This record gives sequence, structure tokens and C-alpha cells, in this order.
Amino acid sequence: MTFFKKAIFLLLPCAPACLLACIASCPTPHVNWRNPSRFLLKSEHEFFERAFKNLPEDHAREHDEIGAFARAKASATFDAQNEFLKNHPDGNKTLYEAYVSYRAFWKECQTRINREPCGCKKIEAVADLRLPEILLEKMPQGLSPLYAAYERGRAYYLARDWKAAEDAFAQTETLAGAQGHSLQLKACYLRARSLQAAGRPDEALLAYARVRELSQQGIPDPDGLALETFGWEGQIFKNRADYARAFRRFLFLEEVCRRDFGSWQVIFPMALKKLAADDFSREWVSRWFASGLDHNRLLGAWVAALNEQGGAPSKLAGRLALAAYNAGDFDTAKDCLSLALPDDLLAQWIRSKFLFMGGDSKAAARIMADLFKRVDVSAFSADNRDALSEADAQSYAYPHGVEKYRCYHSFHRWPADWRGCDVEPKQGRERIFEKITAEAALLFWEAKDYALAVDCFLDAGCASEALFVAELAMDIETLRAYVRDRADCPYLIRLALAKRLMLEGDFEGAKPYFEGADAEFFKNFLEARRLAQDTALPDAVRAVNYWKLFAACKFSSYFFKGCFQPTHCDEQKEDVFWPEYIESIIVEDFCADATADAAADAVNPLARAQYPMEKHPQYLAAEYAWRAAALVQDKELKAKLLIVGAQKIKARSPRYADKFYKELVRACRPCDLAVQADKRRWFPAVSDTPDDLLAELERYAQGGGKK
Amino acid sequence: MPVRLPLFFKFCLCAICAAASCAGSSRGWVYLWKQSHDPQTARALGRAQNDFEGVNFLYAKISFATGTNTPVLQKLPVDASTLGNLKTPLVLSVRISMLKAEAARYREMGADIADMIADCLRSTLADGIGVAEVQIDFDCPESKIGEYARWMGLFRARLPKETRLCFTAVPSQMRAPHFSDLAEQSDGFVLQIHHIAERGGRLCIFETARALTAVRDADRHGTPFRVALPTYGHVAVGEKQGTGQWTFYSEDFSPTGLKPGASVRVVRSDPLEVQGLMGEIRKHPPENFEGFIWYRLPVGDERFNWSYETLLAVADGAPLGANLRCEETVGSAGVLEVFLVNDGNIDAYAPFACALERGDVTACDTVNGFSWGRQNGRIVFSGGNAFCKLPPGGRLKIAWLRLKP
Repeated sequence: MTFFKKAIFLLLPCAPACLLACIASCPTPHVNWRNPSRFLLKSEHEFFERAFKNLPEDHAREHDEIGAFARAKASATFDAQNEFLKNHPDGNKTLYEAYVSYRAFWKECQTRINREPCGCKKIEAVADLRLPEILLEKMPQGLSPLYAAYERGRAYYLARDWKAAEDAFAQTETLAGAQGHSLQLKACYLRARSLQAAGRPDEALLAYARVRELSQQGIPDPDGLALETFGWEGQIFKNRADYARAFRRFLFLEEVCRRDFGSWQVIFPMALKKLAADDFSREWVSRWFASGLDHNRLLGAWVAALNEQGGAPSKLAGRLALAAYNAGDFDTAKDCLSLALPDDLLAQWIRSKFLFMGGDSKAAARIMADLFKRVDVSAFSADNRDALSEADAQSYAYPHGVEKYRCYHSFHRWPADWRGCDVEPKQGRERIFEKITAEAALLFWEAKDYALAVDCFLDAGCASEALFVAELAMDIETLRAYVRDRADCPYLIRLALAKRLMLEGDFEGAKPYFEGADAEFFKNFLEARRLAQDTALPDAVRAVNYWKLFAACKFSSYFFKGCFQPTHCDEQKEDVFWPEYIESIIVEDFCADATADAAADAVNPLARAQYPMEKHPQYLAAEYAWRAAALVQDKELKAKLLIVGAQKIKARSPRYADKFYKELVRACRPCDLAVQADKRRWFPAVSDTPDDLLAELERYAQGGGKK
Repeated sequence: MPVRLPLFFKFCLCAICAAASCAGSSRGWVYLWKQSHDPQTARALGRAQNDFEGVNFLYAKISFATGTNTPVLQKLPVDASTLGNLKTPLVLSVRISMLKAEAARYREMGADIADMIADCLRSTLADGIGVAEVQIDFDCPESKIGEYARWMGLFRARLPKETRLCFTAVPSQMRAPHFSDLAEQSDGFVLQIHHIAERGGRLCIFETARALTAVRDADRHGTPFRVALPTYGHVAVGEKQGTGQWTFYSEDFSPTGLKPGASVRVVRSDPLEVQGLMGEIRKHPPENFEGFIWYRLPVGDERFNWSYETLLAVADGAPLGANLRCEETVGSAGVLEVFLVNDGNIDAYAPFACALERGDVTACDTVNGFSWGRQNGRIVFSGGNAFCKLPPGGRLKIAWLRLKP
């Protein structure tokens, strides 16, 4: 079945040889399993060094050579191949050497370049070589007895003749020259494999132990065979239902190679107590739980098993608590906290969460504030990998940068991530840091330590929440001090201050806080506003400036909006900022001569509630359009201004737009647009854009108020 | 010495067996495809014996030695005591690996493979597992179907006459000229309409139209056949974007090994689509159609395979749907704990979404990968851990809430 090829079964304890792993010692007291990556890197380094040493510098020549060799193999017998090699310009190679060279080259292609080389077809051809088959028939001349014995063993092994393979490998190990040679270790490993395959597990276990012994003696092990032995031993112990021993081995492999965890998940429920009694297993099972994979339904049982054995490893208690909390197992999380060390950051965090849950936000905030004082933030940055490996339990499970998981990343954030799913995860930070910081910000907010809350929200990447606190929670002087004290204060906070100063009517004070295009816009806005209100100027000129204000509100509405309400506020607070701003402008600009209905609409919260909050800048724009139209005498132009001015609000707020319609019908007759409006009882369509009308208004003003 | 049962007792036994068989007969057969068995397998088999017509279990694999192409038999460690005590008919499956060899080599090794298959049957009987059928699962190249037919003749000759001999076939094999010979040598075959592949820019496990065509084609050979229906899913990992090269992972998938920039997709068999296909086949059942066989029996908490309840609902032809709702209970510390509950009859998968009509919440935190927000006086929960599956009747804690005093 084709689909079965896709299935990788749960109980395969060892994948093919892990080229990246090399172990210098076994997991006895000699092994440094706390930092397995050191071995990985060393192994990689050694492997590449070896691979390159065996290769000619000119890869192209190697390609040709192998290709020619493959062709010879495809078309001739073994003897003919040897003949070919003898006649080759570089023909002092034996068949065996050519084969070894091919294997080294193949590995180099696969592991270093990680892509098919240009001569991939040749490589494929060589891959079809059946050297073991040939070697069974006849060994190449000149091959040393050591290599000959080893290759014979491999040939028998591949042919599944376990007894013959075992004998050949045993012979290899005892031959002169084998001592200290990498073939000695390889032969020992394959002998163990042959014994296991032949159903002789006890002898296989001894041989596997011998492989590790050889590795510890310093015999090169570039393929990480010593490490592989743990997986095979794990399988033997699993089959014997000796789960604790099996676990030790699978867990070790899982941690070092990040693979093969499926094997021991299956046997896990059966072995809790045995595992908890075993020092090695206790450590690694706890780490596995803390990794945040979706298996935490067993966590409670594991912690109970640990407690029976005298308590969880205290340095992992915070991670276990976090895992339990994330799985919703609050009781287990509390049990873990009781075992935590005092300076366990994650444990402190979870403690503050429980205090928050219990309603004691102040105590929760105290813990977090204390934590922020004591713990260097850089401990959570991406630069400090060691700290992360202990602290970042979640990045264990969901690595950054994986497409399609970005959505999950942002979903997992609390509070929610304003940036959405299509934005790259922030570089240089880890999510655990952002999560802690964001939650701390909420607590600081609730404790009214607004500056710290804004700092934390910004650090956590929760810009909308930071803005919300800056606009709504801080008083203006605190906000001004916040901006003043931070040279690198982000512009969105400075903008919030500028808008709030505008709200207070302090336009000059607001000016320095606008930047770039906003500063230019603000300057133009103020100038247009000054000219529009200057009654000494001709009506037509004032109308032009009112229309500019209309366009500014219509097309740059963000400028007139407050922040969006973050979804995680404790209470749905009224968005007090921009309605007040609207109100102040309306009162200042219009109330003197606005219709009573319009003024009442503008300031009456009930009436305002009928309009979607985010549409208020459009309401303001319409008011400016109304003012512009009022200053224009030409009926056709006035009609257009009224129609375009009401465009954005007529659907959302027909009640408010009605005054535009009535003015259009009453004041603009007998122009066509007014007649059409009267006929259809609503606004007719016009093709003019605000820019078109601005140009027309400017011509009208230049003509002294005449078309 | 065989025990002779009284006639009346035999009659009762037959009646019980018949009743059990009827209960599961309309649901078809089911594959148990595990490399080794554990207590979870035993539990799954215990349920399946009452709900399905029979169980097809993987017993052995035959692979070919590198270089020599010598066949090597590997018997898998199956749970003989559980299998032996099942009251439902059993099919023994032998998986034969892909073989690249000349026709002559095929002929040479036919007898050896036939001996291995006969050995498998003997072993199962010796272990107390009564087997009614032997099924060969071999991805035979289309060009070698004639040789495969010869093998099948050898297999037939080595098996007892009362043991049914079947094989698995994919649509492309049915187009081979010697396929009818192969079918004639056997007592039937299982048509696999599922094969995960990229079709029309999307990954899918099967397509209804193609599957129906394959079913019609299968009927033309005049041999009884069953149709294998997929219940499984896979994670497809593409190392580079746009290359269309995917690596498929099953239950062993772990995100820890993913490289940055890799794209990950989950491809699952859609219960509605599968049920639709079943309906189409049942509407005009082909003459030689014997029923369905499900690939594969849910065992334990598999992330990408259907749950057992989903499988039953689909097999029963019940109206399908996942009905998610939020449920509140009073938890510790006086907070409300919120659970996501699946009241439907098929699995639901993350990301989830549900809401609570609550305007009186003062504090909230989510667990199990959920996030929350307020929307028009409601608390909306969304997300969930990646790959999280909520089976029918499943309940998952998603948040706690503190209300205004």
C-alpha cells in the first residue's frame, strides 16, 4: 500500500544513523547530558573535517570520476571495473577505495550542501552499486584484511545472514590493526545489531555496552553509533517490559537527537512509579512534561508519582507548574509551586497568576514588580540561550519562524497580538518573555503603575494596549513626563500625547510631538483652521479652507481617532478621548451657529451612540463640509458640496444627513441637482471628487465669489 | 482431542456470533495497522469486535535484502491473546516491500515468498489466532503484475482451501494488462482509493470522482472486492516553499524538528466527504462489491486519525457535525472554569472558536493554547494548541473567569 510508506510507526526506537550526533561518553556519570548540543556541534565539526579531508578539492573531477565508475559498473563485471580503475589516470585506487570515496562524497552532498549536486544522476547511478553483493563473491585485490573482514561482515549483514555477519565482525574486532581504529567500533556495533536481529538480546546488550566503552576510549565515532546503542537497548528493554530502563535510553535519545519520543509515550502510563524512582528518568521525564507538548493529561499522575518519591526536582518545578497551568491542571500547578526554588522565575510568574485568579491583583503585581527588579531582562533575550533553555518552555514545542504556525504564535499571546498573523515574529525575543511581560503590564496597569505598564506592553509588542493606557489611563502630566524621560519613546506614544494636548486646546504644545508627515499635516490643518475661522476674510476663501479641513478629516481620519479598545480590558470603558475631542471642536467651531439639532446630536451621547464610534471623524468631516457649503452662494457648487460632504454619513446616519438633504432642496433650487434630489427624495449621484471640488472652490474664490 | 459440543450449544453459539456479526456488518471491516501491540491496541480491538464485521491486522513484513534481493520475513510482535479471543473474523495482512527486479528474479523468489506467507498462517494458528483470510499488501509495479499473478497462484497453492486469499490494489494497477489474471488467482481484492497527493494545488487524501471511477473499473474484473476508506491524516512538511516537495508525517510528528521557513500543512480525511462517497457507492452498488474496510482502527489518542466515535458515526451513515459549545463550572478559588465541549458526532480540530454571553467578567486567563477577547458583550475564545483534536463528547478546559462581585 502506498500510503503505508508514509506512515512512520510509533514504535520504531531508532531512525537511521544520526549523522549529527556524536557522543564522547555514555550516560553514566561521565556523560554531560545537560548540554548535548556541545557534542552535536563537535560531531558536526569532526564529521565535516573528515569528509573534506577525503575529498579532492575539485568536486567536478570527483563527479566525473564517480560517473565513469558507475558507467563501468553498469556495463561490466567486477573484474572489468577493477580493470577500469587500473587504467584510470588516477587508477591506483582499488575498488574499495573508490567505494569509500563515493560514500564520503555522498555524505558530504547530503549533509553539508543539503541539495543535490550537479551530477545527481551520476550519484544515483553510483547509489545502485551493489558492492556488498560483489564483495561476497570476491574481495578486491590489495584490500587489507581488516577492511576485507569488515566489508564481508557488512555484506552478510545486508543479506540478513546474522550468524555469518556476527562472525565476520567479531573477526574484524580481533584483527591486527583494529585496535583504536574506527572500524573496531563500527564492527562492534554491527555485531551487536546482528545479535539483536538474531534474537540474542543479552549478548547484544553486552556488545552495545562495548561500543560505548570504545567510544569513551576515544575511538572516532563520526556516525554517532555509540548514541544509537541507547535506542536499540531501549527497544530490548521495552520488549522485556523493563520500562524504567527503556525510558532512560529513549529519553536520552529524545533529548540529544530530538527524535523518537513516540516509542516511550506508549509505555509511559505503565511505568510512572518506576520512572519516578530512577534519578535519570525523573529528570528527563520532567523535562519532557515541561516541554509543553500536548501530553499533559498525565502530568498530574507524574507529579503525584514524584511526590511519592519525595518531591519533584526543584529546579524544574517552575517549568512543570507552567506546563500544568497551561494544561488547565491548576491543582497540579499549585503542587509544583510548593516544590519550587525561591528564585525560580517561572514559578513566581505562575504564583502571580494564581493571585490574580484569586482577585488579589495588587499582590500579583508586587510579585511581578519584584521580579522585574531582580531579574535582568536580558536573561530572556535571544542572546542568552542557556537561560532560555531553562525558561522558555513553550518555544520548545513551537519553534519560531515556522510558517503557518505564526497564527498559533499570535493566538497564544496574552493579551492578544495586535499585529495579526501576517507579521514576522519579533526578532531577538522569545514568546515566553513577551507573555510574562504582557501579563505583568496588565497587573501594573491594574495597580495604577501606568508608566511601568506602558513600558511592559511595549516590550511585549502589545502596542495597542500600550497606547490605550497612554491615552486613557495616564493623566496628561504623567504622560508628558513619560515621553520626556524616554529618549527612545516610540512615536505612537508621542502621538498620543500630541492628540491629548490637542484635546486640551494646547495646539502649540502639541506641535513638537508630531513628526514627519504628521507634523506637515498638522501644520496645514492648523493653518486651514485659522483661515476658515477668520471672519475678516471673504466667504469664498473661508469656504476653501473649510473644504480643506473636510478633506483632512475624510482622508486622514486616524489623525482624529483615539486608540482602539484593547479586548482584554477589565471593563469596557467608554472611549473618552476622541468623543471629547470631537465635542470640543464642534463646540468651538460650530455651536455658535450650528443648528440646534446638529449641536445636540454632536454632544448628546445617546445620539452619538447611534453612530459607529470609528466613524466619528467622518461626522466631523461632514460638519466642515456643511460650513463650507454655508459660505458658498453659487447654488450648483453649494449643491455639490452638500452632496459630497454627506457622502460618508448618509448611509450610516441618515438622520444626521437629512439636514444636508433639506438644505440641498431648499437652498439650492432651481439647480438640477436640487431638483433631482427633490424628485428622488434623497441625494442624487455626482461624479466630482473632493479634490475636484477643492479646485472648483479655489477658482470660485479667485473669481471673488462668482463662477 | 477435540471437544464435542452439544448440538443445542453449538446452535446458541452460532446465534450469538450471527447477532454480533449483524451489528457490525453494515459498518464493514477495519484495519489494525500497528507495528506492535500494546494495551491501547487491545482496548481498541475489544471495541471493534462488537462494532465491525471483521478486523484486518498487520502480521508480517517481507522486505528484500539490499543487493541480493533475497526476501526476508519479519513477523511483528502482535498481541496473540487478544486477537485469539476476538469473536469477530480476522484477516492476516502481510506487507511486501517494493521490489525492483527483473521478471526472472520475480519468478525465482515466488516460491520462497509463498513459503513465508504459509509460515505466517501456520504461526498465527499456532498462536491461537483463527484467521479467515490472508491479505497481501504489495506495491507491485504495473509492469510486473503478470509475475505477481504467478506469485498469487503459488500463494493459493500453499494455503488451505478454506482460507480466503486477497490482495490490495490501487487504481493504476487495475489498468495493467495482467490484472485480471491476478484477480482470478485470488478470492478478491481491496481497492484503495486513497493516496495522499497534491492535486490541483492542494493536498488531499482522495477525490470522490476519481474514487467512483476506480470503483466502477474494479467491478469489471468480475472478482469480489472491498473498498478501503481512509480515516487518517498526515502532517505535510515542505522544506522549501513552492517546490511541491512534501515530507509526510503521521502520529510521530513533532514540531521540535521543524526548520525555520518550513511550511506545514495538515491533511485529513474529511468525514463528510467519505460519507458522501459511501452513499454514492451504496446508491448503485457494483455487482462484485462486498463492502467497505476502514483504514484504520483508531487506537489511543491519535492526533491525526479519526476518533472511534467519528468512525462509527460515518460508518453508520448518521448526519454528521461537530457541535462546539462553552460550558461553565465553578472551579477552585471561586472562579468559573470554562470548558469547550463537543456535542457533535465527529471530531473538531483547532483552531476552535466559541463564545460566552457574559458582560460581568472582571478577569480571565486562558489555557490549552486559547486566547480570548470581548465582543459585543460576549467573551470570545479562540485558538487551541496546534493539532488539538476534540472528539465527540470531549471536554477541554480553556479558561477561567472571575466575575464582578
